Amino acid sequence: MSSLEQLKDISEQALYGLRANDQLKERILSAAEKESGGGKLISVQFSRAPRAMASLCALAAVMVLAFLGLGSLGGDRRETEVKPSTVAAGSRMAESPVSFSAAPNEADTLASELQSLGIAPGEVERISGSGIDEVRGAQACKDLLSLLSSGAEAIVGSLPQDAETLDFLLSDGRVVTVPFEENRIQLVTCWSCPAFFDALRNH
Amino acid sequence: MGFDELYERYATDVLRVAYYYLGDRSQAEDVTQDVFVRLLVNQPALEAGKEKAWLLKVTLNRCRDLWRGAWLKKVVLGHPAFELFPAPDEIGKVAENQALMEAVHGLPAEFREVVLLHYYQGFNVAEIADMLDIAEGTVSSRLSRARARLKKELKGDDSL
Repeated sequence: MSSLEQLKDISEQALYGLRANDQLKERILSAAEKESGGGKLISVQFSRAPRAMASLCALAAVMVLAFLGLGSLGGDRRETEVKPSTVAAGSRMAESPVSFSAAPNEADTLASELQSLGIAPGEVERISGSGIDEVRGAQACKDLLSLLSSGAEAIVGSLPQDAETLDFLLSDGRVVTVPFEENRIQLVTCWSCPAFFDALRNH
Repeated sequence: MGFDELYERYATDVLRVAYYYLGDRSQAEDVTQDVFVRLLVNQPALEAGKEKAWLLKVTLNRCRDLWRGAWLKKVVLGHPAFELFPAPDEIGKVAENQALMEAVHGLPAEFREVVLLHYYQGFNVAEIADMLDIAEGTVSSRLSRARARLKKELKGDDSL
């Protein structure tokens, strides 16, 4: 049985994919700048263009997370107007997924989410899942992931907890498991990507 | 130490402790945001070498506030949008590890805090007492009682 003395190692392994990434950092900087009125954060140096982009990214992230219906208590999220009818009930996917077109750069967001899970191109050696023939080989997996990276669209809602799962075997032996349903995959955000799932099912 | 360095060094610890405490990734990110926004906006005078302690103290305060929301107590570890598993030949060990993590997560909040700070983040009793504004004896007592609860929860595991 695992010992409390091993809790650090156990937790580091189990929470490996949970990292404070650049997206969260931008969100923090944007929120802090907003809260301080824009002129007080002298220790934070941002060029004009990245600051604008950061604000847009943070706004998009806040809106996506608010739409996920995960129960926000964060300050920014409270200020985001969300129509109740567009929020998935509980953790169920909305019946008619709604495209989230406000994201300024969805490819970057998706790449960041994949990276936060450790699913880096070239690092995945096998993809398997319910009702899907196993995909083996780093190149084959990389090709599939490129379809996901280039063709996914963020959608409103989140997948139910009893959704099917996709397993990504990484080169270091870890397996990252993420829920999927039909053509949708749940990372931090829920993404729709028919091209990825078509290729996955027909490879 | 500037914001960038503090974020680079400690934000993941803040995020993971919050996640461990709350069992919800979205809430953990909210907490991480709140903690670092407070750092940026208030710019507290942090004592050198105690930056992480300050960040985790604020983190736990925020987690405690959120935990008081009754709905959140229904969220348990293992419900996030993803789970991590090692290679198949380590599945047995993962089951044990998950049992320990879930047992820690299921501890009453005052026990969970001291276990996370001591066993997960490596702070000693005196440091934890300072962070939580409680007596060292209280920390030791909570750790002892937490171990007893975990031992019972994990069916008499003597290794705890």
